[in-house]
Amino acid sequence: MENPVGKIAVPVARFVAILCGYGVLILSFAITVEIVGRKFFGFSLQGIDDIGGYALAIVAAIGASYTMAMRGHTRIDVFLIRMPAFWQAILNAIAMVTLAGFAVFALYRGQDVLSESIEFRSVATNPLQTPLWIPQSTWLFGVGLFALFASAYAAHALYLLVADRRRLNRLYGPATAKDEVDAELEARKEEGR
Amino acid sequence: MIDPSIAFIGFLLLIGLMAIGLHIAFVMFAISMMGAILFLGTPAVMNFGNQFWGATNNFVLVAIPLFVLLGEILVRGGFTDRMYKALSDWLNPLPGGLLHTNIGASAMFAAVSGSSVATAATIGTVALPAFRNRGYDERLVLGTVAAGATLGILIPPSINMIIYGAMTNTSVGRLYAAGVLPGLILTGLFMLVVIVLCKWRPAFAGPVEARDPLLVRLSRLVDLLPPAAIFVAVMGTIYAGWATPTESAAIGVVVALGLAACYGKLNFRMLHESFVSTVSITAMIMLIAAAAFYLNFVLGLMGVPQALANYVKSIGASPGQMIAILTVFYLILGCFLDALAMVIGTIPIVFPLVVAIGIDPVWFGIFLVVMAELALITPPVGMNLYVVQGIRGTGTITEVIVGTMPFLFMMLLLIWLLWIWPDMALLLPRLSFG
Repeated sequence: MENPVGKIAVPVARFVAILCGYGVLILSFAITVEIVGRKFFGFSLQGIDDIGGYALAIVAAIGASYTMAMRGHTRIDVFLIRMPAFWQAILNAIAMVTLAGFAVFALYRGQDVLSESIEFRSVATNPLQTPLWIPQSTWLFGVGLFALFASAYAAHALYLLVADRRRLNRLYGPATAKDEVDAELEARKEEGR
Repeated sequence: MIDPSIAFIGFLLLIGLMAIGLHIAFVMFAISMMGAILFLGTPAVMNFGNQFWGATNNFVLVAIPLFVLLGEILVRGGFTDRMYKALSDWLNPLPGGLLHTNIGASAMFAAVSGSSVATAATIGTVALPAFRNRGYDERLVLGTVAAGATLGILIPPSINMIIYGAMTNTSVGRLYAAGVLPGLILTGLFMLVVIVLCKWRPAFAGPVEARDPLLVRLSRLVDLLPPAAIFVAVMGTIYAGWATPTESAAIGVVVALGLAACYGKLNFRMLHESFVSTVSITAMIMLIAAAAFYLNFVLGLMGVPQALANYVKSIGASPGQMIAILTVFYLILGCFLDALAMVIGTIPIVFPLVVAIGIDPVWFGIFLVVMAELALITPPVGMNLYVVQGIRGTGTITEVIVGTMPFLFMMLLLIWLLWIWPDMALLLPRLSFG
C-alpha cells in the first residue's frame, strides 16, 4: 500500500469491517431463529426488527471508512479521465475535501442525536426498551472513524496537490472500472482454490 | 408554492457536480444543504443528524447487507458450475445451443441473487470457458452473458427494488411479485433473439453436439437443487406469509452458508472476504441512500413534489408521454451514471411526478428496474460490460458492446410491452396480495 494514510487506515477499517460482517451473520441467524420460533414454537425474540435497524446503521457508518479506503464510494469518471492531469488533480483534491466535509458534518450533527438520547433517556419502543444511547454511540463511533480517516485522506490529498500531482491522481482518482472488476473477480478466483 | 424552475436548476447542478467526479453521496448531500439553507433555515440544516440516523436505521433496508452477503456466499459457494452444466443438457437442442444456457443460468441465478453485477461475475466465469473451441460467435457469447446477467435485478430478489420500496413506501413484496412475469418474458425475449439470429446466420452458433444419455442428464438435475433450495427459502417464505422480505433474506443467508459447507467451500478466509465485500458494498449504497433520504426530506419541506406535480398537470402531459420522455431521459442518464446511483438519485424528483399523473407506483418500480438494467449495458459506463470483458481478458470491449445490442432492443421492447399491458407487472401482486 503506497498511500501513507492507508497504511494506518486500511488495517483498522478492515478489522472493524470484519467485526461488522460477524454482526450481519449473527443477525441472519437471529432472524432465522425468530421466524422458525414464531411459526412453529410460538415464541419470539423480542425486538429483532429494532436490532436489525441498529445493525444496519452501524454497519453503514463503520463500513464507510473501509469503502473510502478502497475508493468504493461511487464517482463518475467518464469525463474526469478525459481532462488534463492538472484539472484532474484539482478535482480529485476537491472530491476528497468535500467528502471529508460531509463526514465531519455528519459527526457534528450525529453527536447531537446521541447527546439528546442521553439527555432525555430515550428508549426504543420495543418490549426490551433498549436505551438508544447504546446503538447510537456505536453508530457515532463509526461516523467518527469515517470523519477522522476522511480528514486524513483529504489533508494528504491537499499536500499532494502542491507536492506531487501525478501521485495525487494515482492515489485519489476514481476507482476505474478495471479496479472494480478486479475486486469482483478476486472473489471468483478464491472459489477455484 | 415554490417555482418548478428552482427544482430544475437544482437538478442540473446535481448532474453537473456528479459529472466533474465528486462523490455522488456528497453531491446529493450538498444540493439538499443548499436547498435547506436557501429556503428552509437552520432547523432543517441541523436536522441532518436525525435524518442520517433515521435513514440508515431502517428495517426494510436491512435486506441490503443480507442480500449482498447472500450474493458473496453464492459467488464463492461452488455450485454454479454444476447448475450451468445441468441446464445446458436441456437447453442445448434449441437453435443457438449453449448460448441459451447463458441466459437460462443467468435467469436462474437471478432468482437467488439481488444484484446484476454479481450475476455477471458468477455466470461469466463459468460460461466463458465453456465456449472455448466450440466455434460460437464470440460477440454473441459475450452479449448473452452481459445482457442475461442484468436479469439479476428484475427477477426477485432485487436490491434495487428494496431501495425503491424503502424510498417510496411501496411494498417490497409487491415489487418482487411484479418482477416475476416481466423477468420471465425478458428471458424469453432474449432466447428468441438468439434463435432468430442463429436461424438467420447459422454460423453464429457452434456445431450441434451429441447429447449425453437421458439417464445421465436426469441424474444431473440434482445440481439444480441448491439454487432451488435458496429460492424456496427466500421467495417461498415471503409468499407463504411466514417472513417479510427482509427476514427472508436472512433465511437465504443461513441456507446458502449450509450449502457452501456441504460443498466444502466454507472457511474463515472465505467468510472474512465475504464480510469485507458485504460491508464495503453496503456502506457505499447506504451513504448514497442516506443522502437521498435527506434530499427527499428537504425537497418535501420545500414543497417541490407538489410544485412539480402541479406543473406536470398544468402542461397536460399524458402518462404515455411522460413514460416516453422518462425512457429517453433514463437511457441517456444510464450511459453515464452507475445504475443504482441513477435509481436512488432520481427517485426524490421523478417519483412524485409520475404518481401525480396516475402511474401505479409498483408498475413504475418495475419500469425503473428495467431502465437500470439498460444502464448496466449501455457504454461508456455499463458495469456488466466491464465485468464480462474483465473475465474474458483478451480482445476489446467493443465486441462486448456489439454483442449486447440485440438484447438492448429487447429491453426497450419489454418497456413497450409493459406499457401496453401493465398487468404484466401488476397481475401477480394483485393475485398474491389482493
